[in-house]
This record gives sequence, structure tokens and C-alpha cells, in this order.
Amino acid sequence: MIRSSDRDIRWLPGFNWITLCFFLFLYLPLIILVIFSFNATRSATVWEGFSLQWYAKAFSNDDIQSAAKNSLIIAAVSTLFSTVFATMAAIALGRNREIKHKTAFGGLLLLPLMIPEIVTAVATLTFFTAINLSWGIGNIIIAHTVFCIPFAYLPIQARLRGLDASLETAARDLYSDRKTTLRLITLPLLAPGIFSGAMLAFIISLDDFIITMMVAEAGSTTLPIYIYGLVRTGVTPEVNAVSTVLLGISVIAVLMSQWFAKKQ
Amino acid sequence: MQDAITINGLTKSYPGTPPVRALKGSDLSIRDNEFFTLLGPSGCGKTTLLRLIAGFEVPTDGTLKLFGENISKLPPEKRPVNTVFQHYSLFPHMNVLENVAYGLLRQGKPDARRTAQEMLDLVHLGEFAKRRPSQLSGGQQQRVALARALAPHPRVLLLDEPLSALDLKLRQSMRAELKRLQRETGITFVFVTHDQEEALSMSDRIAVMSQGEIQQVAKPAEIYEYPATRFVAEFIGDANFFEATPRASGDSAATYHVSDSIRFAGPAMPAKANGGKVTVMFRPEKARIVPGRADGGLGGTISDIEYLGNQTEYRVTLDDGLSVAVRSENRQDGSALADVGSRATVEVDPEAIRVLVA
Ligand SMILES: Nc1ncnc2c1ncn2[C@@H]1O[C@H](COP(=O)(O)OP(=O)(O)OP(=O)(O)O)[C@@H](O)[C@H]1O
Ligand SMILES: [Mg+2]
Repeated sequence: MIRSSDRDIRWLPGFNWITLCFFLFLYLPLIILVIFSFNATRSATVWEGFSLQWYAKAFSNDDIQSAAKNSLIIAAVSTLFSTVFATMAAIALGRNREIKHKTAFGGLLLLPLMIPEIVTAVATLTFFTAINLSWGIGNIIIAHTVFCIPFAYLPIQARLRGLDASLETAARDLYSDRKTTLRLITLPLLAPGIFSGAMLAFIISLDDFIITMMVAEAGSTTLPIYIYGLVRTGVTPEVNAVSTVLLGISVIAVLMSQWFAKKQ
Repeated sequence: MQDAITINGLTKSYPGTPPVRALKGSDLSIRDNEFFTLLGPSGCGKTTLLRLIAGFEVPTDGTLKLFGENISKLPPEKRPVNTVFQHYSLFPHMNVLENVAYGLLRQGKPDARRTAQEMLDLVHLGEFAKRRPSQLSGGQQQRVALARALAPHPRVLLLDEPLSALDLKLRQSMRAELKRLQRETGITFVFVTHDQEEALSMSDRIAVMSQGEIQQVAKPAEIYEYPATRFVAEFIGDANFFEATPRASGDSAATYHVSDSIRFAGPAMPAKANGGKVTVMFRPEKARIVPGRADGGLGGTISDIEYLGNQTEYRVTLDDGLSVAVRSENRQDGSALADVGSRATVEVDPEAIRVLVA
């Protein structure tokens, strides 16, 4: 028997199965984690009925509450700062004709994406110690802001690149000064890119472990670090519940980021 | 009356290695209330000149005056000049009415929306006010762009090849529309095109540009009939050119010797020529073709015949090898005056001869 796929010259044997394996390895553990966060008993391997007790437990746990609060504050503030910086950088590099070596600057801005995070983490810690900075979660906010800028920058820059500069010229022609043009033309048209960048920055900050681990001082524990601490004493359904919530927030943020990026 | 725009020695070099000299010290006066056209091939600096007038570029040298006032240093938003962009550049996040009202609102004009609506009615788009620009056809977007630029009632309207993105039919109807708008608003239009037909049919005056220099400024008929340079003559319409040595034959006439057998009787030689070599030119439709041999004309053989509909173009190889093109109106049945390969004589009146120095 000749299957139609045998005739298709673009079809390569084995590729489908390997791809399927990838999906299994990636998503099966996640699915199991989510399912067992709703388990009725403590077991992380045997399903014994549906319950929300682990969520209730997690939400009423003071330590988790304070870690979640820290995480949200850090993510919100560093998202705000990094998005503002990224927007300014994108407009400066994308619109100012006087700046030379734009490609080099653009590359430098994105380089942190390729630097091993542990290196950035160690460097940041050393730097903070050297200048004797000890602002509690302020330290983490500074580190996250810097670390998130390239993530926020990417979609903003992409959006700006697709934006016809003659629209801004037209606005100037129609009696708007620089500020008015920025407010009424550039920023509104850039908004989807800015939101998309902000969402990315938010999840990057929310999920970050290595840098936070390095620079966090006592009392400024975030959710990922707290979860790590719990796991060392064994995986409990409570951990699954907190992880599921974190996963949910991330997925929503990514979807929103994609949605904004595609927006006209 | 005061000129709308006066430029003196206006120069623009774009940075680069070597710098691009897009405009090389131009002088130009554009009169108030005229339909003025900048015509020239791609890259000759038309857009650059327009952008300098609008204030999007800073001149390297020279002065730019608007109704006598030096505006070289003013930013674009302070100049009472508006632009219709080649690709319209309508604000995609605003509806049509908001687009048209934009300039008026920034100027703080009362009744901005009502004026904008009137402007839209003037370009026959009154009922499209609530649509987004992306929901309009190219021709409609074009008219919104026009309305948006006209709404603040600028003293000068700049149009950069506004018709180039439209199809032929639409382009022709927009020509009439533009002329009408110019008359009705009384605003000075500076129109950029590289389409000679567009320039000839619409303009009060035309400036022909080449490589950053203005070659000639004149009325359309004068540009066509009395081109100042060979470039102008070649760029607008078709022409026959000959290198010739002038021989004076009176105060108002001269003969131009191209070769031993070819000489043209023409107007007096221009003072600039200084007795040296000149270029003699005539348009194909200004010459006549006579089948067979005739006295006084240039004898030759017809080498090619091209039927053009209203006219027929004959290419005649003269006896000493030079080739000329002659166009004549077609006869009632469209048949040619002579056949390829037959003898013919080309006659050119002295009044049809133009003498170019540059
Ligand atoms: N921003 C710029 N930087 C460098 N060179 C430029 C710039 N803008 C234009 N030029 C150059 O200046 C010259 C004149 O350009 P300009 O756009 O004024 O031509 P144009 O007459 O409008 O041509 P077209 O009919 O193709 O629009 C060209 O050689 C062009 O390459
Ligand atoms: Mg141009």
C-alpha cells in the first residue's frame, strides 16, 4: 500500500514521531503537575478525587502570601521601569538620525539575552555589594528592571520598525510639535508593541529565579524561591497548586503579549 | 504681488561618503496662487526641495522665504505650509474625520470638526467621515489626504507625486479635481511629478530639474516650444538633435551647418554661443515629409514607419547617414504617405528650428 505521505517529496520519515516525543516530554510533566494540584489527598502519584484544598491551604499560608506579594510588587515595578526605558531606547534608536552606530547600540541592548544568566547574577551581586546597596526588594527591582529591558525592547522595536516614519512627519506638518506628535501619533501607534513588551517583562520578572536568588536579601523572598525551598523538603500538592497559579499567570501574560503584538 | 516662495542659493547635501548633493544652489520664485510644478527624473531632488520648503529637512546653505519672511529656521509645525504625501500617510488609528480635523485641532481653531466635515464634502467624501483610512480605496485615501492638508487652509500646499499610486483613469480624473481645488481655494500649489504629460496639462508654470539643478522655469507651452537646454528638450517630448556650426546671415537669422549637405536655416544665433558649436533641434511634428525628391529639403530614405493612431512617425535616414524622425497627421484612411525604402524629403521651416547652447 502506498500512503499519500510516501509520495510527498517534502515528507521526511521519523520527524513526526520525534516532534511528538518532544511535546510529550515538555507537556506531560506540566499536565501532571496541574492535575495533582487538584488531588484530594497528599499523594503526588495516585489520583483520589477532586478538591481545591491545596489552593485554599496555599492561599492562607502567610509565607506564600508574602512571597507572592513580593513577586507581584517586584514584577509590576520592574515591568513599569523596563518598559519605559525600552520604549525610550527604541524611539531614540529608531528615529533619531543623529545617533551613529545604531546597529551596535541595538545589538548591545539585546546582548543580555545571550549572556548566561548566572554570570549576570554574580556580576550584579558583586556590584551591589561593592556599592553597598541594600534596599531589600529594591535591589531585586533594580536587577529585574535591567534584566527585563531587552525583553520589553524586542516587540517595541519590531512595532516601531513597521511604523511608517512619514506618519510622524505628517503630524509635524499638521502643526504638532515633538511632544504632541509623540503623545498623539507615535505612542498610540506603538501601544500594542509596548503592551506586548510589558507582558513579556512581567513574566520574565515573575518567573526569574537565578538573579533573584543571588541578590535577594532575607525577607525579600519571591514565589519561585519559596517554591524552591519547599521542594527541597519534598513535592507537596501545595507546591503544585502554587506552581499552577504561577503557570496560569505566565500563560495569560504570554497570550496577551502575543495578542497585542498581532494587533493592528 | 508678493511671491509665495522665494529661494536663493538653496543647497542640500545629505551626509555620506561622498556627501550626496541633492540640491545645488537653486534660485526660484513661486508666485502666489499659482499651480507650480517641479518636474524631473527620479533622483533629481524634487522631494528634497519639497521637504526643505515643508521644514522636514534643514538646508545646508541658502535662504528660503515664504511671502517675504525667512522661514529657513522654522520647524515644520510653525510653517503655514501643508503636504500631501506620496503614500498619503493617513493616521491609521483615527477615522477619516479625525484625520482631516487633526491640523485644525492642533491650531486650536474653533469649529474644527465642522470645517473638517466641509472639507470632506469638498472632496466628495462627506459620507465616509466615520470610516478608518484602511477601509477606503486608494483614490479615496488620496482625497482624504488632500482634505487633511487643505483643511487648515495653508498658504502653500505641497504635493509629492500624489497621483503616482493611482491607476490611469483615476489619475486623469484627479488631475481635473486638483485643478478645481486649487482654483476654488486660491492656495498656491507646488506639485511634484516625473510625468511630463501631467506637468504640461495641469501647471501654470513648470520648473524642470536635473541632478539637483533647476534647468528652466516657464509656462508649459514655453517649456515644450522653447526648451532652454538639451536636457529639457529631451525630457519633455521627442526631438531631433544635430551638432552644428552657426554662420550668421543677418541680424535675425542664421544658417546652421551640420554637414556639407545638411544645413538648417534658423533664428539668429544665441549670444551665449559665441560662434562655437551649438545644438540644433526640432520636434518631429514640426517637420513635413514629402514623398520623392523635392527642392530645398533634406533628402533621404524612409527606414521605418510607426503608426501611432492619430499620427504616423517616419524615420528617415538622410543621405549622409544621419537619421531624423518626422510625425505627420494621419490621412482619412490612415494610410502612410510613403513606404519603407522609398525616397522622401524632409522639410523644416526656419521657425521650427531651436538653437540650444547647453
Ligand atoms: N535621506 C537621504 N540621505 C541620503 N541621500 C538622500 C536622502 N534623500 C534623498 N537622497 C538622495 O538625494 C537625491 C535626490 O533625492 P530626491 O528624493 O529629492 O529625488 P526625487 O527627485 O524626489 O526622486 P523621485 O522622483 O525618485 O522621488 C537622490 O540622489 C537621493 O538618493
Ligand atoms: Mg521624490
